[in-house]
Amino acid sequence: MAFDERQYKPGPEGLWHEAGPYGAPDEVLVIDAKRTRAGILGSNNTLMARTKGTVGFIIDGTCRDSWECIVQKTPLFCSVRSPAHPMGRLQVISDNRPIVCAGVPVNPGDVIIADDDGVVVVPQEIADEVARRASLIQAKDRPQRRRGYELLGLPLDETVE
Amino acid sequence: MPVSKETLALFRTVRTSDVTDALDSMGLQERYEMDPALRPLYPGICFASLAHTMEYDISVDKLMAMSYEAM
Repeated sequence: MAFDERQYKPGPEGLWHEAGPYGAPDEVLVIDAKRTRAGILGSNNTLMARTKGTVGFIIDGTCRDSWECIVQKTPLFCSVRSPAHPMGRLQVISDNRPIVCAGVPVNPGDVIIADDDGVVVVPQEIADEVARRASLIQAKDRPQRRRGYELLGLPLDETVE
Repeated sequence: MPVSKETLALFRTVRTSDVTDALDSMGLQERYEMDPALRPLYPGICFASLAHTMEYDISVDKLMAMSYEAM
């Protein structure tokens, strides 16, 4: 058997398979990979996942082919960049079960919100109240920023409109 | 209890800083922000949606040298 075949062969001889299906409408894939250097997420599988509806990727571990991921605008947060393949380096523990990712417990179905400041998990039990309060907070902040834009003569953008 | 479409729509209009301020106001500081080692691939990425989780762990398997293509 050749290397390429053995790499993905199902069953005991195969050395790599993914924990579960990548790609579903509106999901954020949240992966605990123990901050290892093994590129579970790459340019090809993130692209395919997005065609099935995935809107974001969070991995405490490696993204590889990262320049291609940037060029194709993959919405991804990672703790490591490395070219290494996961085969021979990682094994599957679970799919869609409670995990701890980057220090925070995450249950399937919890809200994940992410931007340049970082990634926040909101447990589903408190999501309604958190969303309500967060909206109130932003509603106070935005008009103040808009006044600043106007005073400085800056063109308005989507963060103040 | 699954998150409603209306709540998810609200999360898609706010910043992570609005969310952490909201959590602070509920007495839930320092619990839900992931390690800042997690960084976006490029500036300006933002999203809010529901988690599909996966876990992997280290294994050490010897990769044998062999031909790349099938004979």
